[in-house]
Amino acid sequence: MTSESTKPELFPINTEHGVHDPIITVDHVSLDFRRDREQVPVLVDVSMIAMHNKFVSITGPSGCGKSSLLRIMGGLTKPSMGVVRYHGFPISGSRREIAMVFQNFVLLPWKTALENVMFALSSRHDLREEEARERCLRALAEVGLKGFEDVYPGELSGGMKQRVGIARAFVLEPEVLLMDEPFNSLDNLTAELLRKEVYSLLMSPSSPISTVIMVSHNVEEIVELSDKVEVMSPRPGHVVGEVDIDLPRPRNKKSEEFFESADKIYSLLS
Amino acid sequence: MLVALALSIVFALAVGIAAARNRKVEAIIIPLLDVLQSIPILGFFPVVILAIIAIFPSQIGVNIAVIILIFTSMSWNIAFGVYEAVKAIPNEYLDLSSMAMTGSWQRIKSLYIPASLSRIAYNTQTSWAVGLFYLVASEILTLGNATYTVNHGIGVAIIQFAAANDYVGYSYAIIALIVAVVIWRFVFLREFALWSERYKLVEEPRSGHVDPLLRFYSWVNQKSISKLFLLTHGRGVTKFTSALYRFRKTVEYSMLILFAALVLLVAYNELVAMMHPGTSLPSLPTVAKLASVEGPVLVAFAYSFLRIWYVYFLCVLVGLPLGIVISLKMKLYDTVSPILEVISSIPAPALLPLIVIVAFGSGEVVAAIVIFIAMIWYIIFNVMAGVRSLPADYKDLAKVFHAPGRTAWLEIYLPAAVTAFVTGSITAVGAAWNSLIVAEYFTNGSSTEPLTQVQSGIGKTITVATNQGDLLTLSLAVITMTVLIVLFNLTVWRRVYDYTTRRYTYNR
Amino acid sequence: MPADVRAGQVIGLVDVTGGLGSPIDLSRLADELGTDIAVLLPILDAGEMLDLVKVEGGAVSLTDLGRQFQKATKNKIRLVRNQLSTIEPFKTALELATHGHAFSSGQVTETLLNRGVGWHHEPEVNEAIVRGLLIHWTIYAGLLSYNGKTDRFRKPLTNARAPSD
Repeated sequence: MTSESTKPELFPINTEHGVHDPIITVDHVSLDFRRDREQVPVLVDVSMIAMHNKFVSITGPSGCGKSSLLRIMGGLTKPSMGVVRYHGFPISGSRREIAMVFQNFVLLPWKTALENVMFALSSRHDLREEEARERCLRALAEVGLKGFEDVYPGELSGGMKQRVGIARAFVLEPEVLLMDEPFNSLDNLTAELLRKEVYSLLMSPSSPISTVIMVSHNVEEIVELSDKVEVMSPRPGHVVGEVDIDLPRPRNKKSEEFFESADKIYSLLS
Repeated sequence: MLVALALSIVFALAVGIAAARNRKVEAIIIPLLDVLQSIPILGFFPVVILAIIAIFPSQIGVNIAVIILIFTSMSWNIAFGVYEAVKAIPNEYLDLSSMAMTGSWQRIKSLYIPASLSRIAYNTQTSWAVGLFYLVASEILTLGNATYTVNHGIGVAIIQFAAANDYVGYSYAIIALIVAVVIWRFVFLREFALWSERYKLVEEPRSGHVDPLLRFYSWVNQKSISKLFLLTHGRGVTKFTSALYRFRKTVEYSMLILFAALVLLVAYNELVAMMHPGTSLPSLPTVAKLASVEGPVLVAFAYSFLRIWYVYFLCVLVGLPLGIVISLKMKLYDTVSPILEVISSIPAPALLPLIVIVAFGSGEVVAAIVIFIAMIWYIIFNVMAGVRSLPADYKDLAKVFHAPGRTAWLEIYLPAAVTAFVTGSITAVGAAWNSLIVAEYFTNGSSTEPLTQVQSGIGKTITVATNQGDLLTLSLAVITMTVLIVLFNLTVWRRVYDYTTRRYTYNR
Repeated sequence: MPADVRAGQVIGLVDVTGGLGSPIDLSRLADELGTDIAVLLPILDAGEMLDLVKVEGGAVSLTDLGRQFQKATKNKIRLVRNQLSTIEPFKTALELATHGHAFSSGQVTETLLNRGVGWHHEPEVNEAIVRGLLIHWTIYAGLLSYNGKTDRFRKPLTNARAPSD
């Protein structure tokens, strides 16, 4: 297939496939890393699927390669073996339909919040300037940052920066959202607040996003948010187990069932 | 060279530790060191020579003068390093030593010196290159003035070979210089740096690939310049400097400096008159005389000013994109940067005879090339440091959001390089001023005709005045140059630096 | 308003206090919030200034306004606009806003210094604190608008529609 291109790939999506086909399929993916002339295996034979309208989390001890797996899904890294598919089509580079939110926000400090969000649309020449602006303003309002359009990231708190990051991913109107430890750089309080809003924001019927894949090492937040959890082993990482979480939302963190689900994950981790 | 280094280190330790431990000393010394750093050193060299010769005539005197010159070029930098290192000692260690009731000397030996070693090592690496420049320049300079020459030295060898049109000899000399530099840099200095790592108190986060070359280039520039512009950047600023910060008005600054300059001029003339009882120098020149000399000096300065800026423009055109491109590709960076490091160690004065040939003897072109060489490395290395310090995530950003190439450059990479670029520019222009002494007028001793000269320039003015023993012109030229440069630094560069650091740095 | 307190922290404070049932013991609250008591204290101060919580005898409880605040799903900070406008630096900022022109945080800081109010002895740090507080609170409360490019605050332009956040 073609090497990583920066042009957004637009494959026609065959809607006959419907909602029961996986959106993201990880198909026996392995990843080796070259360091000082040695091949270090990071991922070994990883397979998983993410379905429509599901919030999937990937967790595991640090170094297990979960972030690398996410990068492969985002088309940023090529697997050494195996392939990740989006609606059946192999991912060979970043796609417009798959957006990403970073742990360290990665906002451009010399651009205002609005300009940062607009950056996501910099390759969308089909959109008129006015339209793009409107879309971005709406996205900022959705994440609760109305009034902060012309503020520079330097003046924003961590939580607010992450909201801008989410808004930026949002305006791409992606079908899949990849999140790499999104709450890790925030203090407890802010993270709590944001988590509560994130699920309703991302998974509501009006949101274009249909699947979220989140990497995290915080079991509590995983149980709070996810429908399914893939647990990985220490390096080299492979999947040791899957936990389905079927609790009604909003989830009560003090309930029996909550603890049960958390326990299942913990036991897989040890 | 080594003597100067040793002296520098001792001086640096003394000053640095004193400054770090005593707030009053700090308040005076640090801004002073900053100003001293920005003064073009070679301008003062003729003065220094004359002064030293008067005290120690003949060979010893000249050698001492050279050593002092190199010392001044290196010590401020290393002193800053010591100051920073001692300031950075975590409080626990300080408490520990006062609990153990160690006497001052003990403390110095077992705490301050080891703590500073790493910084000294790194700063020595940059300072070394600078010192080498001055070494060669001063050896060559002294030849210009027939009475005072150094008998042995690589600079001398180079010039003598060139003068005798002995190309073979000249090439050997240059190659010997390069080899010596390479060995010194890569073997001795690196060893020194690595050995001192053992004494590091605070673990600096190592993001994978450690880059000592880039780190000290941009770090050294940045830290000292920030003090010059009296920025806080989250570190405690003493009362003196914060008062001065509010004292910003240019008029008041310049009045202060002009007054200091006048005082200097008078003192200088007195000193000179004392050393040369034979010269019929009035104890205070008349205003008219002053003005008539100052006029051409200012004109010469203007020529040099313009010269430096057009060469700077060229440097930016070449250096900025080059720096960015090299640092974006890992493989390219790994192969190219050691080469660059070696090339940058060759001091421009050593290449002068070669340059003259290449430039077909045009004085202006020669000057431009020398200045270019002096400036370009600071720009390239700093830009590289700036781009390399960009967290990896930002390169992903361009891919994830499909930013087309031009957008990625304009919106991500260029802005990332901006602060480092400004820092590099400030240092580069400083280096350019220093290089003028060699760039604008140069003789090779045997003939009275200069090897190369420009039509007009302050470097030329100074050199000619030295050779002719024209002390009035010399002193006026040096003082004018210093005053104007410091003024420029305080007004223009400071604003630019403020603006770019505010808008273009990452706040975590 | 204490220098480092942000809206999100106060929202979290009210949320957790309300959720656990007032009055709550201070140390338990700190535990639940996952913060140090030292960090919690200024947040509590802010909460009291905004009339959202009461601290009595080592225990924290919600006021009526606090309960209202907790229940609100949108525009929480707008509920405490009036309280904010009586606290510095917002009070002085609002005064400057009435003149109709855009103003900078520097102007606010200077005016405050003349009245003997400051947060830090270093002038640049002080101004940065004031700017941070103004940006974080007044925009959410709808009291002021801010443009980062010009670094100026002003009275918000009246919109026909209310903010939709």
